[in-house]
Amino acid sequence: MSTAAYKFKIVMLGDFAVGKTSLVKRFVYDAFDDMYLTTLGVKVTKKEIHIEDNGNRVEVMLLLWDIGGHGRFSEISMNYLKGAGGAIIVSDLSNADTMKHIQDHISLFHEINPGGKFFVALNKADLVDAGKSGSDYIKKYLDHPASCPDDVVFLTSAKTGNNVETLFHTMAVQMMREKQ
Amino acid sequence: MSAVNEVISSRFGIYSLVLGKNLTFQNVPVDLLDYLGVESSMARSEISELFPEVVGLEPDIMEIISGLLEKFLLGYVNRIPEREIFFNLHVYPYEINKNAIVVIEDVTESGMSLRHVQQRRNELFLANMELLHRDEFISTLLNTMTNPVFYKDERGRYLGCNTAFAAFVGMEQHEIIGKTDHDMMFPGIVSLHREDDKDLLVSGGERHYESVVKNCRGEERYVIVSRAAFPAVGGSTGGIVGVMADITERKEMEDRLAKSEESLRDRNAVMENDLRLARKTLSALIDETPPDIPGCSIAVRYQPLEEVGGDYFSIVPLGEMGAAVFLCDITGHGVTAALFLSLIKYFSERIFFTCSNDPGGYLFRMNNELHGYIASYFITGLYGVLDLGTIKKFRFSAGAHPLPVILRKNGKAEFAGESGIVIGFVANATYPENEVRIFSGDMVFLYTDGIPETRNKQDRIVGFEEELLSLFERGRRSTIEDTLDAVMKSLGEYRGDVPYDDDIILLGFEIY
Repeated sequence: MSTAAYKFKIVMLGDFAVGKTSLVKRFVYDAFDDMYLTTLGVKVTKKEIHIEDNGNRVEVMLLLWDIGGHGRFSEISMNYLKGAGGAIIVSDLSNADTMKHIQDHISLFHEINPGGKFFVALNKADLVDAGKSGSDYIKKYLDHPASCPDDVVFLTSAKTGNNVETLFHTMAVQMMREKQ
Repeated sequence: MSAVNEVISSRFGIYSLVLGKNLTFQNVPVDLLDYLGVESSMARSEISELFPEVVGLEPDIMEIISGLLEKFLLGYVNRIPEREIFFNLHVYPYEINKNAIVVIEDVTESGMSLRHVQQRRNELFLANMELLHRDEFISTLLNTMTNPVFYKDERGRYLGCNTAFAAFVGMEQHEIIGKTDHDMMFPGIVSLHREDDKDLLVSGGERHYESVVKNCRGEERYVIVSRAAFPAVGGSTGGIVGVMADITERKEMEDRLAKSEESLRDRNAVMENDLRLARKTLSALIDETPPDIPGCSIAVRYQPLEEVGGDYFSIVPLGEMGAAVFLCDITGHGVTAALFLSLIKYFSERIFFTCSNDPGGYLFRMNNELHGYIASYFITGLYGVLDLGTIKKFRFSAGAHPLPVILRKNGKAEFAGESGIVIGFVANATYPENEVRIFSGDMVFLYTDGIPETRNKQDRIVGFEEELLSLFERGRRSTIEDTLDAVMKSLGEYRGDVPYDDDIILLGFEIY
């Protein structure tokens, strides 16, 4: 039985093969493998983290909903998105199409969870130009870059682990603050 | 419930539970706990504890319990890494407003099977995406090229082309695919088509040729077409790929250059003619045949560098007294030098009337006549009087000119006198008069700097000192003509293959 003070359902959204499962695996198990396996149905992974809050140690349970990436959004059962406190929209920096779909995933998430907290993980950052910032990519690929402010965009690499811990931790802290 | 439970549980891989309206299980069977990979302490637990996959879906389940919803399904729940299992989670109403029945249907086998199918499908999708990206990359490369590119199959049908080729023929890229040259309406295509296409397909290799092709606007363009046969997968010839390079601008420039060259040739011919005329004029100015002077024998060697040289001399008999000689070297060569020389000849003849016996005065006046006349044109020169009276002597003045060499009868050579400054450079410059005694059997040599400045392969010059004197000493022969020949021969040997870079005048006077 969990004794966590807070429990949040976070859904991982994004196109097929962008690295949603790899991000979860890196965050929860600090592991990464190159073997590609399609996520089928729903896989929920629990991760308990500790947050320092005004000198107190607060335990937060994250339920990471990893659902299969699909070519069409309609294939995602709306059931999966219900009750999600937040979403991580994952895209592949080396694949322009997945970058262009970020806006669609945000819209889908907000359709079921209006006002829900979301973060954007621009994944596979190890494969692209290190000189660019997240906002550079957002401005390039999103029709409405203003809908995606700098503080919710993270350049991540499930392969190297870069920024993965920070992304999930930042998200947990912000969701906890909103609950308080 | 128990009867139902028995029936359902009797089937392998299906578990059932009763869910109370507080969304809590009362008694979860041990075999289900084991199946789900959770601890036995979870036998009494909330549904979201046992099945975290339903977090957020509690309202739907409450609707099942209250009878508002007939069925709830969460398919292909994947328990990894705790257990490598897939199950469907069914929730049905049971005893309206009291509870629900939860059925866990193990679908691991079909899940794994489905995963494999999806895995294969996704691998194919990724491979296809990679191919598309590669194709897109190649198309981008081709379309970035400014040269028209096309490729045809072995039957001459266009397989594709880049945007530059499409623009050239005035068609869309997709319209070109599948067409042959003869299907294309643009006027220049026939020029691109070559009868040796068949040879190329049979023998392989490549062909390059220039052609004039009309583009879609009917404009004639000069192009270089390079075509090569490319292989098919099986190794046979797949077709022909061609690249056109539009060289119209280059051709036009070549035409302009050719015309310019022709114009330059014409102008050059005029200039050469001018030079010939100048040469003839100069020939008239310089009398290379020395006069007969009693008491001495005179020899001349005149070797102008170009068709028109920059050196000048004149020897004028002075009756019984002997002769006057004027020798000069002006800066530069060619037509301008010739014109300048004609001016010098004019001045020298005018001055001669009043200063024929006064070398210093002669150069003084020559200097003042020339000073400021043509900027940047100066001369070095020497005017002398060969006095062959009872006491033979050579009186002269020099303006920055190489000093005379006196080759004595005993074979020893020496320089005579001293020189003043360049003539025509400073107004009222004075030139000291030198006088040197000469005797029967002596030879007097006057020359321009082409002799001491003769350069050899080691980039050394003869110089104005001992080596120059030695040149004359070694060249001494019984007559002045033979002596000058010997000196010029020695000079040629010293020079070797190095070409002359200055005019040469060498005057020799043999005293009887």
